[in-house]
Amino acid sequence: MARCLAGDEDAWAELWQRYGPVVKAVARRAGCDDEEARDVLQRVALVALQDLGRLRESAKLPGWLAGIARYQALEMVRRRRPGEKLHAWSAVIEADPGRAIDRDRELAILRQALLRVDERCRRLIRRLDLKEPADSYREVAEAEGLSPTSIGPIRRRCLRRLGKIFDRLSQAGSGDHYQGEE
Amino acid sequence: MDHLDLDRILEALAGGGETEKNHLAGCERCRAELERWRGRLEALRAADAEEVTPKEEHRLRVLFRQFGPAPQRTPLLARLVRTSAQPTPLAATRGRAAALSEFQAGAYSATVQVLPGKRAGRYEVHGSLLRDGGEAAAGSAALTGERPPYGDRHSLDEFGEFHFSGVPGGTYRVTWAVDGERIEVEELTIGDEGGRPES
Repeated sequence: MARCLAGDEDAWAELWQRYGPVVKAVARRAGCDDEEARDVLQRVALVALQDLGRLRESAKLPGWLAGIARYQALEMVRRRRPGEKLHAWSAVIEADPGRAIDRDRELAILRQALLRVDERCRRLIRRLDLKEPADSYREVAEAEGLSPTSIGPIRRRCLRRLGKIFDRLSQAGSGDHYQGEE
Repeated sequence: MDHLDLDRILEALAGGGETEKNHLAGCERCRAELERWRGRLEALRAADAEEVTPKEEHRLRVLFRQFGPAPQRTPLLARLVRTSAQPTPLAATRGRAAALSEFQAGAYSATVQVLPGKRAGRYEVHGSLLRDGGEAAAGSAALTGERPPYGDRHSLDEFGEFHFSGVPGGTYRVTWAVDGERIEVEELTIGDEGGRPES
């Protein structure tokens, strides 16, 4: 963030390579199509630009971005449904069915956690838990130069690491997003 | 009953051992936690499949150049010259007046007009940016607000005009990026709400 604040355009681009996929995923979960998800990304980036100073605390960034992405996405979706009432920002947050805002925030933090586990763990989690269909233990073992019997325990270790980082980031970033301020 | 901690929940998620399986069979709370983690990974799978394309990155970079921090350039702050409430046919049917504000910033003059939108609590914002002499400025205009968190940007048309629709009531900043300059209206209050969430 310090680099962004100093006017470093590459740092800005890195920021969005990291968090842009979460913003787009949140937009899609709210019902946006491809084009709308792209628009949401631009709009969230503009809001972030006017408030870069606020983003200095990196632990709070994912939740903040997820909240804004959800609001922008709901606005976008409701705009194409003429009969549907548009809501105030506070109403979107307060009347959030099933605490979707919490799930979006969790997603943003989990993505951040994924980017923080070591590279091998990230590869394993991607191939075994995120890829569809998942690779077999044998395929992963071959690619990593490991024994197939070691993949299960390593996978579990990696997931536990992911969980621990997620836990830590959740605690560090809690109470940050707009929900807590309304 | 001792419940499964996060380590063991994730252990179970990855296949797990007999201890975890036995516990889960008789523990609703831990099964719910396991399902929560399945849902989280499902969502992460979807997010991991998303990407910021080169074209999107380019657009984000342009945004940064136009509206990002630029310590070497001090924005020209637009000074309010005049504001008026203009009754319009639309406003008349809604019982509201459209606010028209005129600003001056260096060699530029700007207008910003706010009209009631088609939906309650939403507004149309349009205006123009002209160089002294009436020539249209080329560039783009951004409307940004913190509460509600709003951000939108449009290129100025051949007449130097811009238009934002469906803007929620609140307090905003208007920024133009033109001719290598940045011009700002630091505070523009839209709607009666004055930044309060509308009901």
